[in-house]
Amino acid sequence: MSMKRMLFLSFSLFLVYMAGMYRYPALMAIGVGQALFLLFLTVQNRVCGRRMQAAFEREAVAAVKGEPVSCELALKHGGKLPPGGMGFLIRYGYGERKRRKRLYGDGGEAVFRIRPEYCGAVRLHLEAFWVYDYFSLGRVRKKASHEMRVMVFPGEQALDIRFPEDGHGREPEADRAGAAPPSGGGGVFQVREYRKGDSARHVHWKLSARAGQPLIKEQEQEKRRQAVLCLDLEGHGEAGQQDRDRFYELLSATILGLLREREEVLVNWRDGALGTASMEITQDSQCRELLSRLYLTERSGGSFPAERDTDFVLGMGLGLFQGDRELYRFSGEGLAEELGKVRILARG
Amino acid sequence: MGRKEIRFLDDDREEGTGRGKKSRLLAILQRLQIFSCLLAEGALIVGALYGRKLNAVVLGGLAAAQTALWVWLHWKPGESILGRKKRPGYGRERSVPIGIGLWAVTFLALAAVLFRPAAWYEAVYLAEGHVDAMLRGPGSGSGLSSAGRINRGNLYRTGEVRLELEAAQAPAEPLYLRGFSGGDYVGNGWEAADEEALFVEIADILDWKEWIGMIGGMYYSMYFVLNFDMDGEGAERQLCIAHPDGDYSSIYTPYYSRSRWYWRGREGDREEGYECEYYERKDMGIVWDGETRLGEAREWYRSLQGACLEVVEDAYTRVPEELLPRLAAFAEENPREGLEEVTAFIGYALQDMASYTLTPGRPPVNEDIVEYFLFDNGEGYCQHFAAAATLLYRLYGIPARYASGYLVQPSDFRLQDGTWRAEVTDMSAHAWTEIFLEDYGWTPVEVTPAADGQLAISYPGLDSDLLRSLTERERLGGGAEKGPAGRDREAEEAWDEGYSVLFDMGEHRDLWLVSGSCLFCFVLFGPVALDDRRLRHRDRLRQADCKEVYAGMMGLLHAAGYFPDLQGWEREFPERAAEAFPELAREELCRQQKIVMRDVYGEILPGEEEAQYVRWMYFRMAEAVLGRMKGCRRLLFRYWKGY
Repeated sequence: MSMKRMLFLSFSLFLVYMAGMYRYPALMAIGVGQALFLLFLTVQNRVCGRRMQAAFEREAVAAVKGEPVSCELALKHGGKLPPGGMGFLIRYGYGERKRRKRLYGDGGEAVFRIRPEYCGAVRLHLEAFWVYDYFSLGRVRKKASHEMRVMVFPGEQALDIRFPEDGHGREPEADRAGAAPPSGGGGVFQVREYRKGDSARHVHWKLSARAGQPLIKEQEQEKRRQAVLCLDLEGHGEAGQQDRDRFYELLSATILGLLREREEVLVNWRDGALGTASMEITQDSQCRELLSRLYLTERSGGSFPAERDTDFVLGMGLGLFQGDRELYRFSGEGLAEELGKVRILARG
Repeated sequence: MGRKEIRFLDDDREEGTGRGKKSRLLAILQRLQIFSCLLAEGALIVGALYGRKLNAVVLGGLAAAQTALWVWLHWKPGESILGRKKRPGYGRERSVPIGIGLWAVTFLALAAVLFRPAAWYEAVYLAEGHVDAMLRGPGSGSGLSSAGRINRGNLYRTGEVRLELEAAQAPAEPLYLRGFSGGDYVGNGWEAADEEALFVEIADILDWKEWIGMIGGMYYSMYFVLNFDMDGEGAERQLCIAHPDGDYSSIYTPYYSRSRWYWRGREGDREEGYECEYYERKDMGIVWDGETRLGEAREWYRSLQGACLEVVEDAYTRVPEELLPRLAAFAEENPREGLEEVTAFIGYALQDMASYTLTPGRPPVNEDIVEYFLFDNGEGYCQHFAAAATLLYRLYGIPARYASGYLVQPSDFRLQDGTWRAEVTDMSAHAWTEIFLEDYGWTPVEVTPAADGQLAISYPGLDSDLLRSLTERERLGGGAEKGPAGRDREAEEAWDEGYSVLFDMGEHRDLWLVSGSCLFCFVLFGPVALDDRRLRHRDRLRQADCKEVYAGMMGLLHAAGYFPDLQGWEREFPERAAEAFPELAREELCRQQKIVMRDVYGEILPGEEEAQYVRWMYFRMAEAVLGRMKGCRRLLFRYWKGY
């Protein structure tokens, strides 16, 4: 029995005792009523607590760094009477570092909001919850084990990367959508059926209208404009969350910047467990997919050296290389500002 | 120190809406309410200590007010966001039922207690008795103290053996073994009788200063010695007394006795104890004139008795009237003369105003136990009866003392190994009054009623017939004012005699008051509960979609008796509705209907603005319908049906 409940019961019994000693029926009624109500609260709380189930509403949620995200807890209770207040014990953190947090609510909705400050995978583990009675005199504790992951992604800041040898660069993102293929370059292309994941930019609208189905125009392979980005993940597993956050920010900005100038970005890296890995990114949303995979990489990978002079290399040290040439080394503290200001001139 | 990796946003303050400040205020008010409840209950306890009790109606009202306050403090739902601290707010849907439940439990408890309050008190006393027995344990003594303090609570006995008695023959009369005699009353207790001071006075009166040391010995054994001188048949009895616990700080001796310490040897064992020689009352018969073996000493004893009569009259008729104003006024309002008249009055008063119980409860801290016993509570045990009788005797000028010790009945003795033995437990602890009678000295007077409630007062020289007639005269003459016990007994006797008594709320007065207040509260809060239901219905409509709202509107119209043949989607409905309710334009009703049709059948669902329009029209229709109703029908429609 909790201390509060014991005190309340003791006080009620004391009231009953005093009422009996001094022959005070009304006070006796107050004491008896309180004791009865405590009994009711105890029983109701136990029944409610036993039947209560709590779990995260969703197992995975996407969030943007620095912006609040709501996490809902699904509460189920089978009793007829509603519960009193509730408390939840949540273990949270990036990677293995976990802290505990106690949160309280009124037993109705159970939503909590977090604002993650770093990019990465935030793991939330619901360890236990407890149900209070209506007067918060006592509680019933129940163990729980449910996990939820919040994938925190950087904002949509793109690094300004230019390829002066191209002569012309790609138009910004807003203009690219639905744009016609480059007119000056001509180039042979072939059409094929639309496949899931194809960009709307590559739809041949005239032919699609005639054919009655979306058709994608495709440049010949050798003319496909692709950028290769190699990731040096040495020290990734040991790095602190802040260092990782900067790396992810830079990586995201680099990929988005490359996508402004290229059709596709091929990202290569060494995953400590799986060996080499690669991913073709043609849309902004795929960048998040890549980041998600990296978030879940617990161990350090190795470096993936550039095969060609035009291949980009990005390392945990925030240095951006093309081949052996260092294009820019970003600072940790001023990264956000640098991402907005720095213009990278790369070889095509 | 780096920035916090993950921040939990506790409340809307983080978002700058300011709602968090209100919830903090509510939390403070909630805590204050708990504090105020505790304070109120503490005040009730303190009031009870000082005899200030609120009646059930007032207390029930206070409980209802506290409940209502709790409901109001939890009326608003708590923060929707989980936070670091518990915050109040269950919302109306939960706080009202919880408040009603709390209220119902309180009133049920009130009704249960008021129906049979005595049963509840007895339950408390039973529990107290068990706890007392556990805490006191063996060897800790009886609750009935042999000192002069009058117990202000209940009396619980353990049955522990306190004395071991041995006699050559079993007593024929109840044996009063006195351990304490009270002198001055000091409020809720007696000081021990200071007889040394009396001896000094006696020495002054008799001019026996040179022999002052003898006065004590003569005083204590005078009546035994004198009777022994008269008695030639050897009617004196011997009594050996031993204390099993070895504590001889209090000695218990019978009346008309003399005692001595000795080491009692039995079969070679040395046992500590003391022996008394005494006469039973029936064997007392002092005659001052006639043959004597005492010689001149008899005249000394006669002088001594004369001096004693003089000093006790002054020493043992003092009463601190400032401590007992009601008792003093009581004696003044009922003047009586002579020992028999006073005895009859005291006997009648005690019997009429009080009844015997070992669990009389506690008096208020600022009230004397004797006055509380006699004038307020009307229940007590031997200590209270003895103290009241002693004080009354004194107020009437008759020297009396409060005495306590053990009362051993003849039936307590068992023949064992040729001697009569008795084990005296704390069940035999007793208190009585003693008065000083000529030729007897201090004589016990039993003033505590027996198990049947009857008082059998007797002392040497009392004419029983006279006492009976005087008591009857008291009864017929109205006697003392009716105390609580007297009133109860009257009511009981009236029922026993088969009188048809006018319905008297008396015993269950509080129960009727509580029931009345419950009804009052139902009348008062019933509409509140109904209105709450109506408001919840309206809240639900504000969240409902267009279909539900429109269905609700048609339900309302049908319940009010309008358009029983229409379902609401007919083409003529807007026209007929506009005709019946001119304050609603046909175009408005048409628009509403179209929106609802689109919600049901259309490809594009109505937006929020259109849904608001439909709800607005519902409320206008409800007002229009209600506006055409009058009186009870309108109230019923609004609150009972919940529109």
